[in-house]
Amino acid sequence: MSQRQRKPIDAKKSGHIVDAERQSGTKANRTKWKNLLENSAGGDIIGCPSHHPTMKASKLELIAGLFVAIGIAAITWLTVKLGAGALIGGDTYTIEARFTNASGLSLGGNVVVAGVPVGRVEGIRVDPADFSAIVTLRVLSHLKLPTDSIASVKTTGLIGDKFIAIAPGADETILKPGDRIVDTEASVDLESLIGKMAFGSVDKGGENEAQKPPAPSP
Amino acid sequence: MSYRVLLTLLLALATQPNVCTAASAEPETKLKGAVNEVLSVANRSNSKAAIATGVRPLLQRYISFETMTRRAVGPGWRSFDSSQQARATQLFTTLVIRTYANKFTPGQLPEIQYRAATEPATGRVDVPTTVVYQGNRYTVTYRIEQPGWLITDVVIEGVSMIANYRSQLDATFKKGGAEAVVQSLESSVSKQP
Repeated sequence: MSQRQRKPIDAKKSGHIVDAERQSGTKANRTKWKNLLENSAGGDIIGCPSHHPTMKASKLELIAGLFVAIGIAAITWLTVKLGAGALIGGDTYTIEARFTNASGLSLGGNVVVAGVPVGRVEGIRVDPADFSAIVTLRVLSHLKLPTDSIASVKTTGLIGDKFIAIAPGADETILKPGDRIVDTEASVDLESLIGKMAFGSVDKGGENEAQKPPAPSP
Repeated sequence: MSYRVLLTLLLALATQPNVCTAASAEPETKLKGAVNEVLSVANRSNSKAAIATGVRPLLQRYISFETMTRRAVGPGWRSFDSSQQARATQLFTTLVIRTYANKFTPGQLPEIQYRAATEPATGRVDVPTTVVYQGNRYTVTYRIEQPGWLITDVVIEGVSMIANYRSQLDATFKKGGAEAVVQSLESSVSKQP
């Protein structure tokens, strides 16, 4: 084992390192490197054996900077495009949907019809009149949605991203740009439902504590 | 002078909420009346089947079952002929009334608290309520619409009844058309006691 470890070290010593020492060890080279170091004391790149190292170095820096700038620009463009949902092809129009609760929904979230992405969430704001959430949706213009369509805030999987699912209705009239969907389902608060199941309800009004849903009265 | 201005402002502020609630006052009163009527009928009934038959004419007066069925079926409704539409409406009415009457225990009345109604669009009012029944608290929102201020949807714990049925019936329609929807409604109604 120890012999195996020693072998490459010996090879290195006898080979490249020794050669490099021999090459750089000459007196002429030492003087050259010394001069170069003295010349480039201002922080220029060492290793440019030119009479104007600063010029070349700044050119290199410029190119590197340019690459970085292009990279940042590309990332910014992609972020903006993905965020605004412009990657959905074709003409689009906006409609609004009113929710009692839009928690977890974020800008750029998917809008789907029958599981197919047809748009993006473009804006989320609070209506100051009744404190409901007004969500602006940008959908493909060839999609004519009936006025009684239902918009629901759904979750991908159990704890995944929130998205808007639109279930088209049966009305003859269609939603025009800027119209608002009022038949909506807010995001279901899973935590509070689990809490209710785990700890039960605080209002133990009746003696019968059977877990039954309410009567639809009417 | 400043007192007068102050008085006017105060009056304007005091009357403001009345203006807002004026539009929702009629449907709210109608809903409360309907709920009380239904509860009194349900309370007089001895069995679940008796509740279902007793409240049916009342519910048909306050709930637009035709709108509910049309919306529950979804885009496929347009391809139903008139006889299929009538059958589907009748079956859906029976299904909804029976399903919910079965959850009701005769002699046990729910406590209902009405919260401030909202008007999301003209001719449409949402009345959120809190129902305490058999020791559990539920959030139930009634969606009431013009003409006639009839109930068109009930949202229980954030889940819309219409959306729930639409997801099922629309899938059935896509598989087998209008007749499949009517048949599935028929089998659901016949399965129940």
